[in-house]
Amino acid sequence: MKILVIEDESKVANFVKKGLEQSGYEVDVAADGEEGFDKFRAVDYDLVLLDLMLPKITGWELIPLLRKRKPTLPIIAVTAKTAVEDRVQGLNLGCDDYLVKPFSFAELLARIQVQLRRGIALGTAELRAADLVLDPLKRKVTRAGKVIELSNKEFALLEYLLRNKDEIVTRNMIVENVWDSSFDNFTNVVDVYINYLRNKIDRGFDPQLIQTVRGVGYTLRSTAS
Amino acid sequence: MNVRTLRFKFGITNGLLISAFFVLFGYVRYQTFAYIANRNFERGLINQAEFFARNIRPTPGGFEYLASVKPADAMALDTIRPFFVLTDGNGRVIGAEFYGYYVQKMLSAKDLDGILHQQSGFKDAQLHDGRRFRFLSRPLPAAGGQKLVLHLGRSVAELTAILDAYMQMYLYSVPLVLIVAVAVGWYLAVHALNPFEEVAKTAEQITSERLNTQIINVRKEEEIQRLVQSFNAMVARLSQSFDQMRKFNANVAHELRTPLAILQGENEIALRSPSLPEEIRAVLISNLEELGRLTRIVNDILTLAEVEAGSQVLSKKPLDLSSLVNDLADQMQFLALERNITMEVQDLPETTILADDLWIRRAVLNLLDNAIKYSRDGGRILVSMTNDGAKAGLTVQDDGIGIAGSDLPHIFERLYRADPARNRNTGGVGLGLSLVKWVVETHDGKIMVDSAPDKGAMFQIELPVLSAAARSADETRSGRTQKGSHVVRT
Repeated sequence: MKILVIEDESKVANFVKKGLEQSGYEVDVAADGEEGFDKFRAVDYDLVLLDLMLPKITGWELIPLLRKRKPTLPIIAVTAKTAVEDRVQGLNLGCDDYLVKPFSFAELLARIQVQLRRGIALGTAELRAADLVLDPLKRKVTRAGKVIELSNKEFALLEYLLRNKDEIVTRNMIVENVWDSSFDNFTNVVDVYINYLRNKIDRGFDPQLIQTVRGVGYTLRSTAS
Repeated sequence: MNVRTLRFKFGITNGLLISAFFVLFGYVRYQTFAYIANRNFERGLINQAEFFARNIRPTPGGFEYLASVKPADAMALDTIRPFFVLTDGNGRVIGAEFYGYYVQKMLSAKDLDGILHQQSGFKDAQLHDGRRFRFLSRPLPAAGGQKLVLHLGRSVAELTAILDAYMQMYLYSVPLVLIVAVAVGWYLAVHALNPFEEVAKTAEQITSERLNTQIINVRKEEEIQRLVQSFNAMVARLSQSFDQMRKFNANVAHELRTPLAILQGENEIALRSPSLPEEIRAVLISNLEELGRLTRIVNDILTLAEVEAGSQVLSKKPLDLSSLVNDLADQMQFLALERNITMEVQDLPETTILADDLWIRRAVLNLLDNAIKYSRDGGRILVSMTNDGAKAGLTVQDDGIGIAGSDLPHIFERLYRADPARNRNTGGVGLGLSLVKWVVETHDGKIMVDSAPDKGAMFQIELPVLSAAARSADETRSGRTQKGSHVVRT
């Protein structure tokens, strides 16, 4: 998997490169928009990590150019700006995810992994992990054939975990996707919901599907590890 | 009536000055008038005495007129009839004319004696019946070795009547003038100060969030124009420094983000190394915790700067407040349950407001979060809402630790922390309630708090309800513009 990091702040680029390489990715770094675009045209990347405030060609200008050439390429934008309209603008401009500096590397890694697996678990097909089955259409959940009653939020949370099974999802990602919100207050709520979900789908069953990744988030393992 | 207003001071001062001037002027006029009236009266007496002096000749038994004169002629000199008494140099009466004899009997012995022994000059005397007379004594030209003195008397009734009437009129007019003067003074003061009032009213609308407002002057008066100009200039300077401060805050916070990102990232990457000695790992983990705290502070400062600059664009749409509250309470329920806190949400009346979903959500969430945070384990939180068709009142009440009276006025202040030790671990700089207040106020609402230590706290926010008519109008409008951007810059 090849990732292009377009980031003018060399130290940021360095730790991102180092961390991603440790995680088994190939990483190229470009220091400005122009260089980034050149590299993008030369190499077939699987994902682009893009700072929005770049010299020469800004990230905002770059996104449409990248999209035009590779419509399905996952693009994750990074910026130091937080204003709500920027967030909306970023997503409107066609990037797939958005991170605000300072971000945690684990968060970034989790998002990259999810983006790279994007498309695999979309749709209305039944979602499975071990003997857990979730039917998005009938809104029905069973484990080992036993029907499990879930509240709406619990269902949405489980669906999100299943669609990203075997990936680490951070609390922020859960809040953004399940609660459709970006408030810090909710990260506590996530822990509580995960507990409730565990009580319903894991208690009395084996293996334990929902696992905590310390300091990062959660993951739903489809196979016993 | 406010005694300390300029209007009051001007009105009263004007009134008193005008009255004092009138009183003084009236008094001086009275005195002048009295002086002139008296002088005329006395001049008349002198003229008549002169006339008699020239036309009376003493005789051995009394006196006689010169052949060419009739006494009536002399009397005709004046419409007010005088009389006279003729004495010798020792005050012995030689004769009298007209009422002379009669008047002598009406006078007290002392007055009469005084008059008859007077050689020249004026003397006033009162008759037994109260009438006042003025006498002029004048020696006659010596004739036949006999010295004679003429004592000419005349009633002053008419003179005093006029002066009394004048004085009376004057006295009666004083309170009237006082009233009129104060009224006029008041009117003038109000009239003169009105433009200032107008300027003040406009100035009141300028708040720290609307510093770009300028007073538009419609008055022609030079003083007012100068006032408005200097005020506008001051506001502009203020606005500029506020702007600079905001930009500075935003820039500092913004500039801090990149180094924070680097610190955080490098720390995390370093922690991933399996060969890391345990001590260093502990240090790095602690660093990460502190970085998280720094990040929250920086985020709060940025939000603050954005809020203060008013750059947070509110995108107001019809919003179902009751289901929003139910939704959030539902989500927070679990946090409450974790600490055995009962969060009871009453039946909320269906309520639609025109609001920015994101910010209202944030405000309500903050209130609920606070209620849980400051509840004791096993406490109780009550969420209720009223809707009277014009206003919706959302109340969040807890029975937790409450707020000390001395803290109560400050809890909506930015960066205020009631008890620094209590929530240091939550990070951030204490924007919560000030943000709630800002959100509520930018939605034309109000926020109220009632609390006492150990008695829990009750927060109430009041927001204008979107009427059904306005709602349907808005729906058509937003339906039309839906295709455009969600974010509207103003």
